[in-house]
Amino acid sequence: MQFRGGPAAVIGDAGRPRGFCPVTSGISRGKAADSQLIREPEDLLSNVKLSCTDGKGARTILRGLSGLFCCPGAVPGKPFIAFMEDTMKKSAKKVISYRRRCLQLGQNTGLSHYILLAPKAERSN
Amino acid sequence: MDSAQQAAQPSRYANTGFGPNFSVLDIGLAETVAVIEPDSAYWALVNKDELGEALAGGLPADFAERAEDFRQEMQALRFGLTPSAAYFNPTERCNLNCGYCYLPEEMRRDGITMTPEQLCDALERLLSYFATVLPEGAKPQLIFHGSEPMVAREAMFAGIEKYSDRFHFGVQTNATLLDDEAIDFLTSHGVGIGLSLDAPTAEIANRTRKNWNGTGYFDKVVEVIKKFADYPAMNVITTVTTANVEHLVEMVDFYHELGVGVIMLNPVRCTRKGGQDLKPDNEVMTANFVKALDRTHELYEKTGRKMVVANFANILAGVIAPTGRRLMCDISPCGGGRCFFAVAATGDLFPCSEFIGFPEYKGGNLFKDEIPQALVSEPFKEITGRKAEDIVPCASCAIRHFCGAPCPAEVKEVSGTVNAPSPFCQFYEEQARYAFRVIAQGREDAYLWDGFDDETEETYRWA
Repeated sequence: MQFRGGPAAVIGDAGRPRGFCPVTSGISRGKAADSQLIREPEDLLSNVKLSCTDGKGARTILRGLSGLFCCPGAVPGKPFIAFMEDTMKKSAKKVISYRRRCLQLGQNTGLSHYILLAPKAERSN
Repeated sequence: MDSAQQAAQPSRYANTGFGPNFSVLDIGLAETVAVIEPDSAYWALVNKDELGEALAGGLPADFAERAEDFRQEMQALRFGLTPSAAYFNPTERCNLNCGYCYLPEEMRRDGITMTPEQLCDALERLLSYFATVLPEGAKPQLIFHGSEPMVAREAMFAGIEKYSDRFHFGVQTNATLLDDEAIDFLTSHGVGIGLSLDAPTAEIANRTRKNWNGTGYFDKVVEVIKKFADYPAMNVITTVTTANVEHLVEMVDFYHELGVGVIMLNPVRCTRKGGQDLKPDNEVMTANFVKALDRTHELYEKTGRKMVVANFANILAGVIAPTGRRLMCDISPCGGGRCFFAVAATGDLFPCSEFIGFPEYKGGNLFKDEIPQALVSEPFKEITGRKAEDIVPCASCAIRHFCGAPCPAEVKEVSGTVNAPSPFCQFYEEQARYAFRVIAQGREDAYLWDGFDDETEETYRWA
């Protein structure tokens, strides 16, 4: 399997379908890194465009691609392209997960009583 | 490859082998479920149709990259904090005799009150302790609590006047003793104010909150709330009982109309028989609470003015940012004895105010003992060592770190041991589900307190 670009390095897995090449598309989304356009050089899947926001996202998509090729009924050609495009876009959009961290936790001051949930009033005298 | 090496490899599948243990939680939406790794409080909202695909690929891999960081964060939150706040009861007395109070009646009727000198001495001792555990320049938080702290007005105001630059002060009061002079003093010193009111009408409110002669104070409390309407550091607590549980939506409308920005709709603590007798049915409590939350959102949409229900907001915050939660009741171990402790009017030290009526939970005395010794006393260790993992059914519950099985004082009274679930278990379950619905709908800002984004930073997002 031949990939160009950093994320591909982790997928150098023999025995899987060949030919998906992540290239920088130049499309940016917010603060994220460039999106990726994934192409199949022989044009079998040349219309497939998959967005990801960083190297990690690319790996996720590529893992998904590997899995899709293993799906029963996944055959080369347009029906498969449509199936994959639809599925991958849907998967990327329908997961919501994030996490935040208290900026003051290390100072032991980020945790307080409910009364102080209300905005602090400034002393006026 | 040995087991350690295998464990270090990213697992493709959840729930088998070295893969993460993901629980799938129905959150009441037609298309979306929550996938939760309980130990690390990791969660993802996934389309139901794609759940199998997510569990067999994307989520385990995504989680594997961050699992260790998340677990370390939870470990620090649950076991690595030191106290930064104290509840302080300057008097044992109260001018009211609310039916559900968690303090013994004889204490509230005939108890002692600190002098200004005693109170300032106590604050000095607390400052000396906090200076050893807080970074230089960080102010500890001190909440005057009850009984009714305004009974000790002279002492409390002397302490606030003397130490206003060294503590963040708050006062939880029934409002009945607040005159204009007191309001001016508290607001001019930037003191956080918590008031108590249980219903939007005198008829209902006065059933549970009344003086020793049975007279209620609804009109007085509403008058005080109006005087604080423009003061940003004011909130109102409603204790939800059988008397008012059917009126929570009206309560929300009432507070919003008064201009209140932060409220709490707390289920009554079953720490004493009076509270147990007034405990609302879990299903009734939950249904009405959810309606009240819905109503706050409707009002926000309609008027653009937010009213935060802080006890729910804290659960939502605990999901989004485990370390960004403010109340330490809905995490195990709870904050009692490790993030804060309580000082009784006698100087006796307890893990939390909820324990002040239970002498067996005294860990020392502020005037006689060292605070660090009290923090490791057996009564304190029973509370600081109480973990959801040791409780059935919490040990296998997906939301155990969004709920925390509160509160140990209440649980001990109801179940005879602290290692039992909350008497309001279903209520907490539904709050977690509601929190995930809020996230799925992208409505977090409508429910969280102002400033939450500034207090926290994003450390991870599914991309």
